[in-house]
Amino acid sequence: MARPYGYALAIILGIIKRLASVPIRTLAEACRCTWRPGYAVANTEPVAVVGGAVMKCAALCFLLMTGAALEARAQSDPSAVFTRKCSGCHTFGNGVLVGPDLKGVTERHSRRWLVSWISSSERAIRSGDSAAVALFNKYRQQRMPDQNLSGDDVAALLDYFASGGPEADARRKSRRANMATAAEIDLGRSLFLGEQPLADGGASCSSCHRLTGTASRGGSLGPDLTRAYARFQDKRLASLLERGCFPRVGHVGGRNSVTDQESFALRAFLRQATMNQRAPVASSKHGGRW
Amino acid sequence: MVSDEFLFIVAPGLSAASLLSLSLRCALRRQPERGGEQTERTAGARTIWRWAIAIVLAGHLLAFAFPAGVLAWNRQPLRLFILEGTGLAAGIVALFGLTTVLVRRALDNRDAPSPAEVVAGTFICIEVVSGLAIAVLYRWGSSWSVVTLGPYLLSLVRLEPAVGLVADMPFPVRLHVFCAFAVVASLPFTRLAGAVISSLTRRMHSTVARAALAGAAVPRGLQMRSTKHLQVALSMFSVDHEREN
Repeated sequence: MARPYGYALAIILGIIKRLASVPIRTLAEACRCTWRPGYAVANTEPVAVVGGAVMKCAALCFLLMTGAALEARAQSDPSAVFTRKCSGCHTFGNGVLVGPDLKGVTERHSRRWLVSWISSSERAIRSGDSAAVALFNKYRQQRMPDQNLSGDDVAALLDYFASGGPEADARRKSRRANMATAAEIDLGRSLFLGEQPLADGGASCSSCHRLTGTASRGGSLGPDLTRAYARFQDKRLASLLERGCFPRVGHVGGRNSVTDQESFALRAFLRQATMNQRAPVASSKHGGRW
Repeated sequence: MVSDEFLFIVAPGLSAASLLSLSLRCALRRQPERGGEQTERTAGARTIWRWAIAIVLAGHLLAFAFPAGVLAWNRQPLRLFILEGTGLAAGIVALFGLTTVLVRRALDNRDAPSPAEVVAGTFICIEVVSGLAIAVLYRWGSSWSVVTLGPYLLSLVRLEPAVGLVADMPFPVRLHVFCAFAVVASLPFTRLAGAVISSLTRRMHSTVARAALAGAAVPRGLQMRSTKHLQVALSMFSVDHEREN
């Protein structure tokens, strides 16, 4: 994303350079003329300069916001990709369905082979790859449909399988926050403060809530969450995170929950905050919904 | 006690109807209006507060149009501080400018405001003050409004009002939202509407006339209409100017 910001900087410098070439008095006159249609000036060139600068600034704002939106494009959740794209024909640890069990697939095949297979199994079979042909013959010569997944999606999916896949998700769901690792607590911190976007692209917790240790970065619409874990514990906190803590649209596109992994990390971070800060419950400006 | 349904379903409907009347007035009008000229001249030369209002409005529009972009922008604390700080500074400048104009208008016996203008001015002041209160009391509005007020406005556009998104908000937020509808509803009855219509139509006609002079292929009917409009506007301006002198 460095390149768009570089372009933006170049455009800003161009605007400043162009405006600097016009005497300040003439520029002020031109601004007045641009703002007030009835106002007449002898020289119309500065008016064009000001008009051009305004148009460029508007275009720049649009470009920057679009760039930020593209940057924000949330990476797809691999567990959702598995459910949507794979679970119709594959299981993870429950045996053969239509295709093979995907548990341990990253150990049975190389990553490169898996990427090419997922991208186009037909091409892999036609190329005469022995592993591809063997799979094709083993599973009643039913070819796996080509998947319309980006390189990032495939990589995330393979990482997901390597780290335990749906089985690990199920284990994580039953985990309590006191079992979290330091990395998971750190992930929770990043998610809470918005340093790392939520998978659904929704607003971070710190947009509305604050913690005693992060007062300057947290919002003040909702209550202080320093003691939230002490009040609600794992089960109720997980349920609150799942349905959203406020009658709101959690995601810009309409979904309304965090993933299991995010929920666990957030609970772990909130538990850590409760442990670290023994501050009294702050009064809520918003009715103390938590 | 006024119900939430009235404040956040009926009021936006009324303001939309009022805005529609302004659009119809704009579309049906053939002669330039004097009201616009007068408002522009009496508004004074200092335009910085107008820019401040424009910045605040543009910020609100951006948050509504690019919610994901705004959230991504706010992900870095520095960018969040810049956005919120700019909005707050622009709001303070806008409030200062509005207060100056209102005091000047109140003291000027020659140019007394109409009742509609008093109502609209009051609502605008409440709108700006409540906006500043929100910025100070409930910080990072640019982030939380994206998942609450933005979807509420979108639900109005879809004609499926989700009142719950705004009804549970703190009082200053609800006041800000309601006053926004009230401002939109009352503005078409003020001279500012005349100024906006006048400015827009004059810009449109002068662009058409310039394009025709430069040899662009402009339909003859449109060209004649624009030329006539500009001639009438010029004669009205000359008459007013002579009267003033």
